[in-house]
Amino acid sequence: MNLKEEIDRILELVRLSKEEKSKYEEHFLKMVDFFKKIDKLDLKDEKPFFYLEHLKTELRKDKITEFKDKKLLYDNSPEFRGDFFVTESPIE
Amino acid sequence: MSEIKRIISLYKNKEQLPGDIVKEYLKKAQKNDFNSFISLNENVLEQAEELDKKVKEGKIEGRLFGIPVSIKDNILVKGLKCTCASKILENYIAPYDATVIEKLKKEDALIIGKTNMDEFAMGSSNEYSAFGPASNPFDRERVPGGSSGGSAISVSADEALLSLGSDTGGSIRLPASFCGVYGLKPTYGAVSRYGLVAFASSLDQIGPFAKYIEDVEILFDIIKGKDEKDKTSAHYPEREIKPSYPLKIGVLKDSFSDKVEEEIKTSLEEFIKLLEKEKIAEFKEFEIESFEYAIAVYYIVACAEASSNLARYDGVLYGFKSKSNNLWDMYEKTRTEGFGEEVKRRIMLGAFVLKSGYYEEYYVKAQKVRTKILKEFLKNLEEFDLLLMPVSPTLPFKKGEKLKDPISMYLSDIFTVSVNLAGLPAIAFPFKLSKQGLPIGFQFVSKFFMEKLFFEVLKKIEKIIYG
Repeated sequence: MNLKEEIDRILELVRLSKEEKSKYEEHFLKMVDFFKKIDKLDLKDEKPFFYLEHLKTELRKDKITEFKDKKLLYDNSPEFRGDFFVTESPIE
Repeated sequence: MSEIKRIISLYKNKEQLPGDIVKEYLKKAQKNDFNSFISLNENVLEQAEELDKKVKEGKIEGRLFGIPVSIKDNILVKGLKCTCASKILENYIAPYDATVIEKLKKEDALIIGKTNMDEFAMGSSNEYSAFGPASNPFDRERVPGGSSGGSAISVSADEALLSLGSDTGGSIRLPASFCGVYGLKPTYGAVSRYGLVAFASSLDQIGPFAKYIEDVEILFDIIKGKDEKDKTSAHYPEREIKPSYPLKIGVLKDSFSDKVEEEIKTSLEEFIKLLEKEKIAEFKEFEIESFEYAIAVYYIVACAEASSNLARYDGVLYGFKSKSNNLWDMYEKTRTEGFGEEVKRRIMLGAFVLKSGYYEEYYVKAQKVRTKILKEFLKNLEEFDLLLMPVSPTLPFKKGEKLKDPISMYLSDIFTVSVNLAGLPAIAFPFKLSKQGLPIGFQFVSKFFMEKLFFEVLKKIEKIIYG
């Protein structure tokens, strides 16, 4: 698949309307072209950025705590019944 | 000069009450002349009354006692809406306080309301808001900068005395500069991000806006520090910093390129001459080879992280939900109707650069350039105390001017994104007004955890400029 076909495939997967697709496609191609600028740099001795040295990424221990404002949490759900979030069935 | 200290002394002398002060600011915020607020805190007058009682009892303790503060609408304040300027979260009520908000409340700050922004902090002009664009207080036809446009306006137009925003690629510094106020992007990890709605987690940082540098310092001192709820936060090293004048300041060579507006270049020269004359600093140009690639790298990394972070908005747990007969259609309609154009664009770009076959080609390469950018910055910071550059290549531009060409909008961030990629601290500060009466500001960049140096140097500069 060439680049244009790949982009078309992504735009197809997100199910855009024809009008939207043509609008995004043009920009998408321009951006990908813009991204290619970085090919000009010599990166053979560089390692990918992972994290800043001053940050020690230790995992915290799991601790179960009770969240007191459950109602506020559930009230944000479009549909909540009993103890469950309600949504459409994934099976037709 | 500190407005915080001046107001608290009024309370201490019983010359004014928090209720009186907050009413003055609230009146302007309610008028919302510049569309800077998305929602207001309906309980703020009640909260001010509690503080009025404390004034009468002589119990003034908090460092922000009775100070009106506005908060960008992507930071959670318990019980208030947190929309991220998006339809998908238009009715979302925060169930808890962000760590920075807990800290403000502990210091008796009064939260006036939540400020306008580009949707999910994706934008440089505040035009990508589901609640309409905000206007620059110096010229309503122009943009206030983004994404924290509402926060910058609220401070500039006296709708709040302080504000908190977030900076992922310049979102504090650009609006601060366009609205003529200070805006600090702290060292990555210096401030907890717990309770900040994630856009690009390796770049996002919360930071303060204020009209005076001493107030930026006070607010930053309150919000900084390690937070167990955010594993990317760090212990802030406490140390005394006494600048030795004249400082060595490096000026980015690209500051004088053809892409930068003439008036910004002449103002920068004027600023340099002023500091040389006052023996505050000696200047020398420096270069960052990978500087021109920073925008491409930033949009690869930020879009990749955004496509992952925004996957959670599916219409099930919270936020807007579009009615449908089956689950897949519901997801599709919810996200199609809930997200705005720019957010969709970035999610798709992010999905593309992370796609199998393209990941090495774009994302891994971008992360390599990111390492290079950091190394180059650190090398220059061995030679210089501070680095100086414009915040934006242009003055505040007209609304709609860059909407049709997203790449030209992205280029507004040319001087800001590289600092986020490196995780370094930077501060935007106002210098003067242009011939058209628009603010011109610059930024300093320093080593990790050297915010105190900004404060000391800018206090000196503030005295020279404003007396």
